Amino acid sequence: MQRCLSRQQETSGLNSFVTVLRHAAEKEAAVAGRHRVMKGPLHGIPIAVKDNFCTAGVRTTASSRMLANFVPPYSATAVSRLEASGAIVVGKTNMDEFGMGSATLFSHFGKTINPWSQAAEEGDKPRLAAGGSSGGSAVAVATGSALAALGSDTGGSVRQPAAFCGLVGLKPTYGRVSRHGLIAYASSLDCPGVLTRTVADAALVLDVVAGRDPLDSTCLEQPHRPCFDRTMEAAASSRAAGLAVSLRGLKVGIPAEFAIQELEGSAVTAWEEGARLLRDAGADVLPVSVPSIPLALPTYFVIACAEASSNLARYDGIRFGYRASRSLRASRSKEGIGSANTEEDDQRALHDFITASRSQGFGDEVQRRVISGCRVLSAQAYATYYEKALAARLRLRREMNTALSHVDVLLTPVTPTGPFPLTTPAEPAALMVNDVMTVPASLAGLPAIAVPVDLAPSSFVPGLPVPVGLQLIGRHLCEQQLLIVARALEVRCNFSERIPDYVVKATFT
Amino acid sequence: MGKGGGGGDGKKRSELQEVLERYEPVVGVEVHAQLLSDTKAYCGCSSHYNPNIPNANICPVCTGEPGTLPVPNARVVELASKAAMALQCEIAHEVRYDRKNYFYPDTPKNYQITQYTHPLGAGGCLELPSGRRVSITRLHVEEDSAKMVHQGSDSLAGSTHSLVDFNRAGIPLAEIVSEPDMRSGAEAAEYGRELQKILRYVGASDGNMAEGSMRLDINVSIRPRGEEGLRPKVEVKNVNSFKSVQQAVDFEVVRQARAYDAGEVVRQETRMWDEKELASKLMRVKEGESDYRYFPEPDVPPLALASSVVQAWRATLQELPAAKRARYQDPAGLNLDAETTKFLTDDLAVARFFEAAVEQHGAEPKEAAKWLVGDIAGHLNGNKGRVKEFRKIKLTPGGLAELVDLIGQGNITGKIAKELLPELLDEWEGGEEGAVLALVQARGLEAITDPAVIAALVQKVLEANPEKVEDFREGKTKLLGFFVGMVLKESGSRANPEVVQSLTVEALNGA
Repeated sequence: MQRCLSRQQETSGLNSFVTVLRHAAEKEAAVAGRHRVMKGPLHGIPIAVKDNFCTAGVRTTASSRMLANFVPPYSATAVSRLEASGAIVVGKTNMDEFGMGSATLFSHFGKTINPWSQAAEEGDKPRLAAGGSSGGSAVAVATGSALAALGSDTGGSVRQPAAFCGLVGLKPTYGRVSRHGLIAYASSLDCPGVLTRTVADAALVLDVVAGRDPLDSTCLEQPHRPCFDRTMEAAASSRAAGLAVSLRGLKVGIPAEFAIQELEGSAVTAWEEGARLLRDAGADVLPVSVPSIPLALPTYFVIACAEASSNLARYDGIRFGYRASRSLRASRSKEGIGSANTEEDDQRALHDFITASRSQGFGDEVQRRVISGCRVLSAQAYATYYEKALAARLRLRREMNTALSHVDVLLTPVTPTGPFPLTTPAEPAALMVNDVMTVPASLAGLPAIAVPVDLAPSSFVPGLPVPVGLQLIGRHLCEQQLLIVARALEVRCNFSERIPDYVVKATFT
Repeated sequence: MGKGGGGGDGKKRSELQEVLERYEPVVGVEVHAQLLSDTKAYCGCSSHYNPNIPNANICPVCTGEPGTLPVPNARVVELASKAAMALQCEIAHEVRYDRKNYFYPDTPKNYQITQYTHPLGAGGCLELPSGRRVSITRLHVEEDSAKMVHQGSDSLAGSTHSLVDFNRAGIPLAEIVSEPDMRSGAEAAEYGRELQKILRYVGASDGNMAEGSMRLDINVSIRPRGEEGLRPKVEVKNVNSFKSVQQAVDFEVVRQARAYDAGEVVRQETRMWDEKELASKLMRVKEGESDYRYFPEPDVPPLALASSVVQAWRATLQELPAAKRARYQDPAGLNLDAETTKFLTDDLAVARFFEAAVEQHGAEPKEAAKWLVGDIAGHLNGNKGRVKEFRKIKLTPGGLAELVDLIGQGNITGKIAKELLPELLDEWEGGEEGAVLALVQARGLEAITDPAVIAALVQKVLEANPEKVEDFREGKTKLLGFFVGMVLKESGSRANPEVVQSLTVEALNGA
């Protein structure tokens, strides 16, 4: 614990935390140290929690000015389960506001910097993005400020920052982990996920947080099949047999549609290398087709923005959250309190008040998505946008499931490029392309995992090695199998031994 | 546009009559009824709240705190389905929810979870006692909003500040929408009353207008008689009693007729009914349809309604008011008159009491009905608060059956029965069979039928009034009533009135 807390302090310059719970964590660690009986499998383990998971009594901001002072009265199910298993929350991590972004760039609390950018002291080199929206969680784990982190993945928000920071990022099946207490971005896509250094750690944390929850009716009823033991078992038995992990009899699909133009050379190389490693491990690697992939990104944005526009409607400055300085009372008195006010005058004053609170409380990207969402749900646009998106989503889901009926897992890149510089002008559309590889699994509700596989020179900062990850997409609720394959890949890539010292040891204050 | 009516009631009525000769009212009704589930629609909070203690029954779900999720209450679907079945609606195979998006401080999430594209029930109908058939467009479930309390004014307009009470937020509602099939204020009120009865019969809602557990919005338009199409409709809200429903429709009919007569147009608008002034007042003008940006609620997955479940619910449905009325009035059966039937069937508790007395305890139906409609209702202070009062009475159906039987057998007189009634209703602790008779005997109130005993009483009265006896014998036969009354009084109301009558006549005409 002390090691994590000092790493947190040493790397505070990367801005991975919104709130650090130093004293609480130290106290809990001391208590945990005294206990003879383990509370659970994560007894005493320092964990970072993305700041969109409610934590009772601890400020939960979703990195928004809107919730800068919001202290929830209850904890998210995922957080409660972590704590019940002995984990200690060391802090709340920075993110793109309400999860909307792919770089942890759009935060009321500032950008988060990727520790792979080299030491921050070398000021002339551009700093790289940690990815997002769970960038703070990724950096917390990458720097050793926490041993694992809770993230949330709506369109890739766990997998993409994991890939950017050289970590394992697991997005389980939609509904495998309760969303209760996760501040909603897009309800039908939001998925609590896990960022860790290793596949086994991800499996362990998943086993703790997964399973049905009466407080979330979209949470699946099926009991969770524990993953940690199976993942380790598969590795152990294979090792005994002289192999890293045997994947004999397993089929891996390579979906052709993921080979898009924007894909960097290093990503293509890593993809091919990954396929070869899995073949070496005994798997059959074969091409598959998911024809609707090109529709995935626009479909995702229509659905995510539509749901966001409604989910974020509750932030009106009336019950909680940011309230515009010009109060409703002031708006009213301007119109003149008294019988002269008509219902319509007061409606207008109320409208102005809500508009002011929302315009000041939400950042630009959130406002863009909320406005887009309102648009696609409007009577004029519903049929051309929202309805079409639902149909496309259904088609994509069918195609993915069909592909996964022929093979056990799909292997794809995580992102078209490696981590990009934070100085990149925040052109909203360009940033969205980053999600192109990750949104299909989100739309289909399938489990997916990013595994770091290689180092490659950054295409943005000459000479700088940056991590490259690969994504595995599994069948509905088949996390066990997905993790076994991920573990096989991990063992053969041996990525963790190749992380440069300056990433895990350097200080960034 | 001036106020409708103006003068007294009579003037108003005649004006309405005049308008009705030329215009036909077209009325549709939207009802929101709170469903009688113990907990709210989407959380575990109790739905039985005390209106005097604001924000007592609330949780983070009720106030829409960030991160909270709705968990649907299965009982809500059951109650709403039963109501939909009673209204002869088709029941959906799958329960789907939608979000209705709009900003208002009484809506904690700034959207309401409702049903838009797939209502739970659709295509039903309701036949009114007067014979009018009203089609039911749809019945869907939704959540109630919080309650705004405006300080310094009755409405948002003119108030200094407003408070929000979330006790009501998330209470399950059934919204029942009718087709514009009603043609008068009286019919609209009749529809409301009949619907209330049905909701109460199936146990879906207590339908209490005064407490707001049943709320009506009425849509009124008029058209020249003979015209086919529909003209712009006006929605009237805040109609808090069935009497107001009729008044509000009648007011609108006259107001709109005046507008048309003056060559003006009637705008599509929302108005508030003012109970004190008996007038509707402009709330807001509708500029086209509001865009609520409905979309499927992603937090609540669709729920399949198995036909076996629907069948099981259907099997539990009680006889509905219309069927009950028909059965009570059937000449080959109970053969009760319309007024008695109405009284007995208006309140299911009364009907159940009556049926238990007749069917389980063998009471003579007409006599039992007569007691319920007459003396028992009279004792409970007429119609005022009848429902609640009736549930409190101590008399059991068996007790009523025994009472009726004792009178029929001549064991007690009607007069004695009436005298005993208040005690039987308010304090009686009996219950088992024979308890009424035991009480009568214990008090020594059995009827006197022995002619010898009665003859002695007659003799006593005659002897005490020799002058009146003379008068009678000289032709003042009207005095018979006086003597009978005196004899009955002498017996402490216990003497059999017929025997008294014949023996008195005999004695007066005799020696």
